[in-house]
Amino acid sequence: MQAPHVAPPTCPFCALHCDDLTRASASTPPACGRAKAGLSRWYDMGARPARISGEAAAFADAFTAAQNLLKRAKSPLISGLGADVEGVRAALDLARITNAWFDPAHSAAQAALVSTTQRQGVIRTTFTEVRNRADLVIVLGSEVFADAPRIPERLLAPVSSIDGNDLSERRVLVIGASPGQIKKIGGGATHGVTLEPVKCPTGEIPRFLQGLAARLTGHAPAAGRSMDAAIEEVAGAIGAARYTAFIWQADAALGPAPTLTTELLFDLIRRLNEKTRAAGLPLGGAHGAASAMAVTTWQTGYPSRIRFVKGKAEYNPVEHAFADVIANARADFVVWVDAFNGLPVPDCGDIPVLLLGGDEADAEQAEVRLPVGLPGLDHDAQVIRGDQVIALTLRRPEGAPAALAPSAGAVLRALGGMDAASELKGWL
Amino acid sequence: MRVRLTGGRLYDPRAGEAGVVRDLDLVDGRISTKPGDPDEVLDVADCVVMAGGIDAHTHIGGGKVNIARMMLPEIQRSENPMAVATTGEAGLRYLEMGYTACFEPAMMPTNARQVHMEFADTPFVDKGAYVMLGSDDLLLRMMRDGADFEQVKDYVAWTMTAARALAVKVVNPGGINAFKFNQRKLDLDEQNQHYGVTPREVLCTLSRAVQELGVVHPLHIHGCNLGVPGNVETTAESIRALEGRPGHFTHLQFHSYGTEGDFKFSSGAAELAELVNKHANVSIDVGQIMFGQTVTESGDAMHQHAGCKHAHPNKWTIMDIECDAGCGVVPFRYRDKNFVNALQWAIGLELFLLVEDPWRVFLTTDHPNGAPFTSYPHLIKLLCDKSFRDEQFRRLHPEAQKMSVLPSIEREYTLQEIAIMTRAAPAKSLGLTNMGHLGHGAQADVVVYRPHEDLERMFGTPHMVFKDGVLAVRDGQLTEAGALLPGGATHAAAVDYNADIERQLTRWFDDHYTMRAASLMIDEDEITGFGRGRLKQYKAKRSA
Repeated sequence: MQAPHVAPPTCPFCALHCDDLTRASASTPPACGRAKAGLSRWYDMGARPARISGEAAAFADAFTAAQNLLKRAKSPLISGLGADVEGVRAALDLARITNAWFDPAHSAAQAALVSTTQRQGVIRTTFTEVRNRADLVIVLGSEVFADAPRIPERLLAPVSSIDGNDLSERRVLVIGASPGQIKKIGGGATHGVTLEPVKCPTGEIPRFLQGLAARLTGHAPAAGRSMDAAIEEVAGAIGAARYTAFIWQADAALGPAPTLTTELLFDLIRRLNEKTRAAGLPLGGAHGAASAMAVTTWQTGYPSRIRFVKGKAEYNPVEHAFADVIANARADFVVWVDAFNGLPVPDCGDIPVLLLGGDEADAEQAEVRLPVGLPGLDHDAQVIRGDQVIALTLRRPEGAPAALAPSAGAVLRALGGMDAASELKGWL
Repeated sequence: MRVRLTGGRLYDPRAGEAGVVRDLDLVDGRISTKPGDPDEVLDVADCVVMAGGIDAHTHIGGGKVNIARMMLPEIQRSENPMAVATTGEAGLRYLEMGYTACFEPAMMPTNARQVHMEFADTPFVDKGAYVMLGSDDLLLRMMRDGADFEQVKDYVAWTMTAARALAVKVVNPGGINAFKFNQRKLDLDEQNQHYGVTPREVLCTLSRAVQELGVVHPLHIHGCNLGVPGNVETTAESIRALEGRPGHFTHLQFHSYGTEGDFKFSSGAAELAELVNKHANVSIDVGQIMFGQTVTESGDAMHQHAGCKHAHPNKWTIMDIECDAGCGVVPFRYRDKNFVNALQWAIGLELFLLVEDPWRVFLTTDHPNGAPFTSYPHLIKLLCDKSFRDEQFRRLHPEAQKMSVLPSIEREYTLQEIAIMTRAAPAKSLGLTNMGHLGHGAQADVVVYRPHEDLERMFGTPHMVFKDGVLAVRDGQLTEAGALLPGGATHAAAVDYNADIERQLTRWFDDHYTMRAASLMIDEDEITGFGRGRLKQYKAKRSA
């Protein structure tokens, strides 16, 4: 099918939430593989059917089935939570009145960052700050470029800054990427950025960082000789920089013990700041991740992994993790919210699943599936961007086809018995 | 619906009433003095009746508040979690204490939408926010390049409009920006190394812009050198730097330190209070500290980073944000046996008691930086009860006792003065014409206190709290009607700007930012959506 002729004013498809796709002043509209694919997929999907036990059903019937399942559930788990701010609010309301476990799927990827913040604190920075301030950018692994493809163009390419600084000498080091991988980043479009690969064997970024920290803090090197030259090069670059920004994909780049590595990295950043400026930019904000964490935090005081008991949130960063709750069959019903179509439902064994949104493969496996709109395309929405500070509005584009499903927020509110009539009118 | 409160002793400083016994009618959410038969009569004989409290400086929403919540689950789980209050708890506890409006003083333009999202989830109370300027690269660039002053004013007005702000705040003027260029301190006349602009110039520019834009609340100033011994001189010089223009110096306690004595740390409160007394253009709030665990949250990344070695528990977070500003979140436990903390406590009280005009000093703890807002009743008792104050003073670190003039100050605040500093004065300063008083047409936010010799008890648990005319809290319990109240209004200024600034900002943002200028603009429906809020706008009268 032909790609749609509409583009959203602010893109819903990755943590960057670029808002320049429809910019009138741009001579050529920005190209982003991920935005294009997301848009085509949304358009091609068209009306997604409601389903009961995998079979297409009327929305009203599926909604009633979902209500009945929820009524019978004694210990529901609400997870996934790929949703906009309003969707997360509604999910929290539902969790409160059903005394549910509540844990966004992203909490696994964010666990290292949350734990490090709670143990020692962090020094962080944001997209525009990196773009204008950082004369050295150290990217840990190349995963982040796949997840947010326009990073080179949006954050690293500009050579003049708002304050008139010349950033043409900015260095961008990608640790653990081969020259071959570098060439593929951004589909080969460099936007004038020179990404310098830094040799580091696959899976060895944690050890590389240990060695770098040891080198920079005057301790004995710990990395082993094979990395010494590369570490020396990076250490030299940091020594010459005014403002070093470290960027990484929070769930991918830091190996099998990401918490230890995240602590090590932020401890290194902290030490660098005794004399110069440096900051971290951990990414992992696609599919509403940052929104879910922010809203959960301001409403409950905890970022994720909570259970409501008599309407009050209890926090347990281990036992209330969705994977733990499912694996130990502590929940007897799972509500999985995937409004951005990016969070596959995990294997829930015999536990029945109500899926909101999601793709058709998951929908066929779920006990009940209710289609929901894609935030920013089917309905207006608000989100928190991947650097976890900037809040944006995703307005439905002009000329978009009529919404084919209600918002996740509306469905969740209706499931909780809150204002069902008015909001779902037209769908039921 | 007309509810009549009979027999109460009314404290309405705006009307000059102090303990006047008269009936008060609440009609459909407003106070009315027009005659009419009541539908309901509530006997409040002998009770003290005041307008709802207004907190003009409390960190209740936005990025740094949320970082504190995330970083400190141990406080959330503790007996007193209010330092990291959730949105729901903050709204409820304020209402229970008789406070019906709260103002977040440090909203960054790029984080403003999140502040309003959190406001939408903060029930019961009215709210508003002051937008932070002064360390943003755009303003510093305009100042460096000698931009036309009307353009600077347009920029300030556009930013206030975009962020739906009620006022403008400056934090460590230019200093948060200087920290990004690795400057670790910035005195009033020291240049930002990159822009060559000094804090004095930023103060003058912004205070003048705010005044000429016709914004009622003067520039809200968190000065240079927060927490640095000897900063009293900088603060005094900053007051003079305004050259008579209005300015509100916030959490002055943290800016009132001398360097005398064996510990090179002393009180500058007397000197500053005298200066404030002489400068009618200046108002302050105190930022009183209380002993115990709390967390400090500030846009002042520079000085929060400098103070991180005092973190308790030992963890802290600093952020550089979006060429806009920054923040620092550092947990802290104030101890009465610690010399510096003990003296900070005394300095705050000295300021309260030595500044003569209660219309120019607001009661704050800079929640949660000095202490959670739930300590206000205790603070009121300290101000009103000299013997209680003396008793507490004698528990302090002995060396701190030697360094404070507090025992020699006989002043005890009257109930009328408390009514001024907790509602009438902040309402006047913020331009909230229908709030902070009990006159005809005022919003029916009314508090009824049962008199008690222990003022902490009296102010801690009001007998009745009315929000928009609804009896929402009775003897510390939320009523059924209270639980059904819609969210409070968001108060914002409506400020004119020349559309040319939009074209300029569009270009700057397109060239240098990772979001468009238009994306900063918060639409009205984002505040009123889903019936979560109302927007109350105050038209500013701009002058050349």
